[in-house]
Amino acid sequence: MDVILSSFEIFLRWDVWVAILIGSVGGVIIGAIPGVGPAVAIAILLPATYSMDPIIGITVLLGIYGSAMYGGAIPAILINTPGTPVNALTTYDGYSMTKNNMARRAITLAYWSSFTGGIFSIIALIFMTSLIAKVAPLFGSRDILMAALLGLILVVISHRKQTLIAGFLVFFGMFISTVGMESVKYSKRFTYDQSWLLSGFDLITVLLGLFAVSQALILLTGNDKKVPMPSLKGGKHEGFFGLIKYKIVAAISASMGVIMGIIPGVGEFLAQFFSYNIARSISKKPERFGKGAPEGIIAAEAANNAVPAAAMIPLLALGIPGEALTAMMLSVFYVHSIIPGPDLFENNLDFVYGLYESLFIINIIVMVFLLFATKSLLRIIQIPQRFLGITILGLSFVGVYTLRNSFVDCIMCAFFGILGYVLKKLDLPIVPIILGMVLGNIMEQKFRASQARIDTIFDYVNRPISGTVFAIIVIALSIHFWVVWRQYKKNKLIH
Amino acid sequence: MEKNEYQVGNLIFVIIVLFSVSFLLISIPYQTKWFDGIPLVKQPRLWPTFCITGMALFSLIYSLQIWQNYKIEGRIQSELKELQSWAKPFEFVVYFLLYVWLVPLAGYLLSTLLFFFLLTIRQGYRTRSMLLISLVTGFGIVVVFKSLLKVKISSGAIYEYLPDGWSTFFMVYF
Repeated sequence: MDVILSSFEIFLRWDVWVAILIGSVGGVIIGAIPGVGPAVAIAILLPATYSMDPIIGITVLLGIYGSAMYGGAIPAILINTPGTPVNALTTYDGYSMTKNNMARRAITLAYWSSFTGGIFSIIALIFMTSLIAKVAPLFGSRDILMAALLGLILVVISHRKQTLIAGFLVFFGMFISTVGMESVKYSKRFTYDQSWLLSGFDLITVLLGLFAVSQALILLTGNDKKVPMPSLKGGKHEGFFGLIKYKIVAAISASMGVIMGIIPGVGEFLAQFFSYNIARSISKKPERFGKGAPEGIIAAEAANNAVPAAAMIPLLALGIPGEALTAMMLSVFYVHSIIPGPDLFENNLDFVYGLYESLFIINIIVMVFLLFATKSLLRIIQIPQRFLGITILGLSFVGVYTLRNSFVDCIMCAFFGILGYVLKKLDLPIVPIILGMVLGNIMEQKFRASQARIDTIFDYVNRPISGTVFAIIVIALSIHFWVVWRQYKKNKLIH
Repeated sequence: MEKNEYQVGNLIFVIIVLFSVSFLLISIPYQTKWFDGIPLVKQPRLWPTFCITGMALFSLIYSLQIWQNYKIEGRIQSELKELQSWAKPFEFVVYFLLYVWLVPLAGYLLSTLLFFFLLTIRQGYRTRSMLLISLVTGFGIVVVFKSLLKVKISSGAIYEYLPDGWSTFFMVYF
């Protein structure tokens, strides 16, 4: 209890409140602009926070991370274009409701569902933190190695129908994390005698290239779309009453978001996919799903907004990011000299609680802001896409150049920008590269660190935690291969 | 096979991937070192070899899958057209790198205003209001990041030619 109370001390600072305000409102605005998204914004703003007080820098970025999906629901519902990729499922029922002149109801339903998901996950995690604080220090090198491996395997198999290319991209990410001078014998790896490759590929440079520059290139080479604006009629609290009516769907979806958020490598997509299917299976009118079912919006939005806070668990407790945004948040912590891992829960528990309390406040501010500012936000959706591309490219310069004022970094960033552009054009995933890069590095370190206690290969899994994680890996792979085999047989029958 | 729909451009993509992976495989003995007397797990060569082998394995199976699908649905003309479309962003990459090159010479403010103004014209926005918005956006970015947040961006060589007081002011804030 003392720790919780002491964690409130940061909120006595006015600059923390300004950071929360800028982060949360900024996040909503960024989320509402199709084609930008929190990944682009965090990648660009991360270097700008270097000079800030750590808690301020982290709070701004946490605000963007925690609030962007709220804003992303607006274009998803009104113009059938998700503001962030995870709002894609919201378009199914949200846009159908808009076509039926229920735009205001759909939007407020999305807000209240997001709010429920966000708050539910934060409260759940505040209660779970004491348990995590006891379990996290028990994780040794082998356990973290296995957890990172689980994260990578889940990232690959969660890309359904794209597992092969996701597997390749994970290994590619792992490979680029090995380039440069290694830390055991200080020998060069894949530098081709180029001095600029000695320090390897910086994660921020790769992130900016793959997310921000590639997105700018997509927008710059595309066309502007005319966006017809639907009118918003109805009361601000229509969604609240709708949510009360489907409170069980909201509770199940928020719980699903928390569970899926905690598992590294899974994230928002699977959380809302499962929630949506559960909501449909328990609905009295399942045929309405995809045609304007309020439960569909509730399931998608409550689940995806419950994930950010939950995803902080493996990140903070083990230093293992579960998806691209938490990989970015890991960089944010490192930059500000906060090393996520078991020690954080032992020595800096007030910091962890402070983060959850910040997320709690961010959710409240966002909710209030959205209830009163939705009409103004509609104008943002109408920013011409190609002009947005120019702005993102201009901002990407700030992100990459401020790292080291290096022209070479910018060339690397441009290279990854083109790679990201091609992957996006081919509809291939980018996230596996980032997770491969981050988790591959962790795995190499933990693999070496665990050697002192390894005699046979079974020693990797003879600890209770590593053994359990390994069992989960086996189960996950078995389910995946079973599903693939079943699909293969089904296809064979059809053809 | 996992995915039956063929996406145009995938064939070109896997060809590039296979060439790159083959090149990396061949490079392993030259680009990593093997130290005698050190256990395998601590060899610097081990981890990159593991990664490249994984890349090779997945890319090979993926290529076979793509080839199967290409044989059913693909056309070489569409592939070449797609390859051509991948060249489109290079123009903007060149503008971006020119902008990066210009900043230490002309300063962040002037370079950014030029970058936004010229790229806005290049994108076909010619109205006075759009050009003004682009200049204001560029100026706003410089003020927020350089003047207020004080991010580390080298000051322009051009500022040295300004009178003393102005020179310092521009170096610090723009």
